[in-house]
Amino acid sequence: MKKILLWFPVVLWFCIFWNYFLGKPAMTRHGIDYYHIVKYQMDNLLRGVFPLWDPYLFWGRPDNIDVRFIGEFNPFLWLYAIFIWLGFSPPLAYLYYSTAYYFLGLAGFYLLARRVLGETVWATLAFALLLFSSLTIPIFNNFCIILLFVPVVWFFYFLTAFAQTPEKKFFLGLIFSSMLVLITYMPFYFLTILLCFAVCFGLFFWKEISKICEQWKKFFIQHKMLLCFGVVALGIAMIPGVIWYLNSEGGEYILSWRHAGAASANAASMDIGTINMGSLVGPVTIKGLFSNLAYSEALLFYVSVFIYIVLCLSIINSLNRKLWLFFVTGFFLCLIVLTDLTPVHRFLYDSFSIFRLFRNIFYLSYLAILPLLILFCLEQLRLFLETPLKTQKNRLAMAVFVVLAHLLFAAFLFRQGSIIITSYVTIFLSAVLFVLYFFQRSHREQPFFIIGLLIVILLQPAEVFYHYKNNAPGVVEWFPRDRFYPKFSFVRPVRREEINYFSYYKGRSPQALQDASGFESWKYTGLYRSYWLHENIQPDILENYVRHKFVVFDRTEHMDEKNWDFKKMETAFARRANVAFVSDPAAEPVPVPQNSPGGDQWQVITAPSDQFSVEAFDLNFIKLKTNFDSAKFFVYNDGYDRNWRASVNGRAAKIIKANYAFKGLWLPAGPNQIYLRYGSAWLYGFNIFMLVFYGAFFLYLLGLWLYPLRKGHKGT
Amino acid sequence: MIPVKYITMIKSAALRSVVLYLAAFLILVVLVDPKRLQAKILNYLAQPIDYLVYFSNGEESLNVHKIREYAHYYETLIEYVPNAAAAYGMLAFCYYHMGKEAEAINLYQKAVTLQPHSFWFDYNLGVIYFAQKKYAKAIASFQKALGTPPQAAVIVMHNTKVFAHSGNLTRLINADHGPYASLEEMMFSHLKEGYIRAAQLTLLSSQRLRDSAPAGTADPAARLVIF
Repeated sequence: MKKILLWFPVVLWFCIFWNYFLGKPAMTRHGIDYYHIVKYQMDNLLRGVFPLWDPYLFWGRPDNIDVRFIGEFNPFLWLYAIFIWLGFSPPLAYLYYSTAYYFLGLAGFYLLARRVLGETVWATLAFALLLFSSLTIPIFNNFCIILLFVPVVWFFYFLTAFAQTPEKKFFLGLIFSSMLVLITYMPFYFLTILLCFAVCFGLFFWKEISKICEQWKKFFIQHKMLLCFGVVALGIAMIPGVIWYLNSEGGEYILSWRHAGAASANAASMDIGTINMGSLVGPVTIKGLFSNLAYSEALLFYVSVFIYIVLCLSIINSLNRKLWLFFVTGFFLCLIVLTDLTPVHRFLYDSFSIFRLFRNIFYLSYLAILPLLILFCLEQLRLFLETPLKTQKNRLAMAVFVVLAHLLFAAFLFRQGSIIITSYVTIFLSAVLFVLYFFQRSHREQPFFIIGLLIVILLQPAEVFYHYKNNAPGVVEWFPRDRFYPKFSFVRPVRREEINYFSYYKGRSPQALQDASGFESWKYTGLYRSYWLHENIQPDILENYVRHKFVVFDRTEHMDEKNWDFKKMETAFARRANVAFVSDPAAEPVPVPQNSPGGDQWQVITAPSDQFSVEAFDLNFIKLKTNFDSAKFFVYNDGYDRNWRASVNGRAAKIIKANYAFKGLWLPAGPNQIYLRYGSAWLYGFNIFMLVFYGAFFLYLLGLWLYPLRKGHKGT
Repeated sequence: MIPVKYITMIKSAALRSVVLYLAAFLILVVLVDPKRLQAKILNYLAQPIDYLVYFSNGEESLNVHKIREYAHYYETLIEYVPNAAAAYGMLAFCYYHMGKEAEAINLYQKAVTLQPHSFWFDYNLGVIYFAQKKYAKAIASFQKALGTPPQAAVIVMHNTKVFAHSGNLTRLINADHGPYASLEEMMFSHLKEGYIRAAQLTLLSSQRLRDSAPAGTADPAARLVIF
């Protein structure tokens, strides 16, 4: 019966969003960005290519600047591929995948609540409260939050389970969830939560710590190899993040919208002002928690009104250590989320460098504050219901308190204005339910009482979600549905030629499906050299140059890397001069041959010819064939990066930084086979290894989990 | 010496949730900067003013959802800055188009009390009374509007712009103002037309009052204006 009740909120949730799942998903803002990113990654993997370089955006850039958002090695991404294989359209496949992943996180929360609160009933209520909270909304508008939430919640489940009963599967689960955290966007949210939790746990459960350590010590002595494996696995999982950090430290690329104003040279670091914009305050107010819910389009912080009723009722409860732990951890995280409203975040920003690396501080409210609030309130509810009432007089006094608390809360709501009717109905039903309970008309374990609680919990959120669905912007029809295959063109579009959906999303959704003009100043996320071209050369002149991917010159001219003469280069671009500018001493200037066919103007390649053709093209490489009459300096207007390798006629050739930001090569006269590739075989192999490693680890963990279930043992 | 019984009672009371909630509340009161909090909330709620201006000019159709969002901003603004006459005027404009005429009248009256030199508050109040066929009140409001020195009216209009959210003002200034060269020119032109219309509506109201308005006579198009 109790397990059946778990399905009730799930069915209700799907009933509310049914039309999304039957073909009309309404995704907004970052929801579409993540659709693009997941689709881009999976479409490429499905055709056997691990994308390392994006040749389409910002005139070429390494792919891992953004793909780290989704945790590119996460085996659950393959759910998208399974839905595609089952014949669903990409938007639906993405929606099913993201929803399934969300429910995986909720399952983790259910198990965690069962461990922490001790009973299936409370875990069911916790599950229902979280399902009908604002945590649902990021599926449609900011999937990153779900991507972060799932491994975090499973980590805490495994941590609790491993502390209570040290077993191999819990330890491996702990390692695997940590590995997912390490590859998904920023692990710093997780670290903040973990540190807060660890300090508070040490404060309130210091006696238990030695007992847990003793148990773990015994476990690790018995499982030395497992411990070694765990440490190695975590070390491996850290590698992509470390590479990303070192690259950002090296100043190879710029994330203009993040980095603007930051004191550190690290591209990932941010000014405190940028971080403060990620505060939840402003979008969320005390009044906004209750009023105008019928008109909300975002639901940034929302939880059933029943939670607040419990908070009111709980004022008479005695506190236990569990409550202290939940409250103090949550409260401290709240102080951080308030950013510049309190001095707490400023202190952390000044004192610890990791706080300079992540913005959107409000994510903490989804990842920790909401779940902690729910656990806190349910523990309070449990204590409240266990209040010993021996005499009829006590019961009467409690009933009066319950009614009074409900009335006062109703009055408070009324004062806020624009309250939806189900809020009041919830208050009424809640009062009736508790009065009946205290007069022993119902019992905590009785299905009637549990169903009553579920109704009281879900009534208002059902209406709020219904309104949200109606208020959310309409179905987006224009996001791409075709599978992604790299398209090659000799010429980039100019700004005004860009197709609608792309120009709308340029800068927002970085995963283009075909060439873009590369002009985006506000949300520039690319190589710093390309960015400096934007900054120093007139847009029209620059656009006229970079729209041609291949430009051939007869000579080069040396420029000092540190004092680059952009003005001179701009003039040369404007005149289409037959000279490329290089800073590398290896690119020796070559005198212009007397019979040079190009004369004093550069030669642009706009279509295949006998002189020049593209033999093969993919994200990570390009193969060219040339046959010029004389030696030429060939510039591929795709961003220069030290990880590019080149060979001419099978022999390794040095790529020269040309025209400040691009790749250049000297080509001898006559037929040439040119091969340009991003990244070494090692780098490519490492990424494939990571995919396989994460997948195999997950399957092993799943097997470890399911095997005892098949044998008839309990899962947890 | 305090009896053990009382010490136990105090200890038990101190470990109640209510004490924890109060302590948390006090910490927040001490730590949170209220002015910054209000600024953050207002910054978030502020909508681009363009729609309201275009709607007021008759260039956009009514969108109650959008108007409600503006109303929410001005409600909050009034909560934080209770003497902001312009905010009352803007909220009254929103309420009127949300169908809350009585509230709109109250707000315009409040705005007029706070800012006696506003032309448009009195004018709009007159327009509402006129639409309600309360001609005596309409005449009083129009006459008060006409009695406002134009220079004073211009100052009030600028204040109104400030409360229209300064962040969006630049865009509004740079926007296409149709036949007008600039936002200023548009505003002055509207003001000039407003004085003429107020005079016309005063005459019309007097006529209607005298003739006790024959049934079925269509009223001239008189609409509310923000600036």
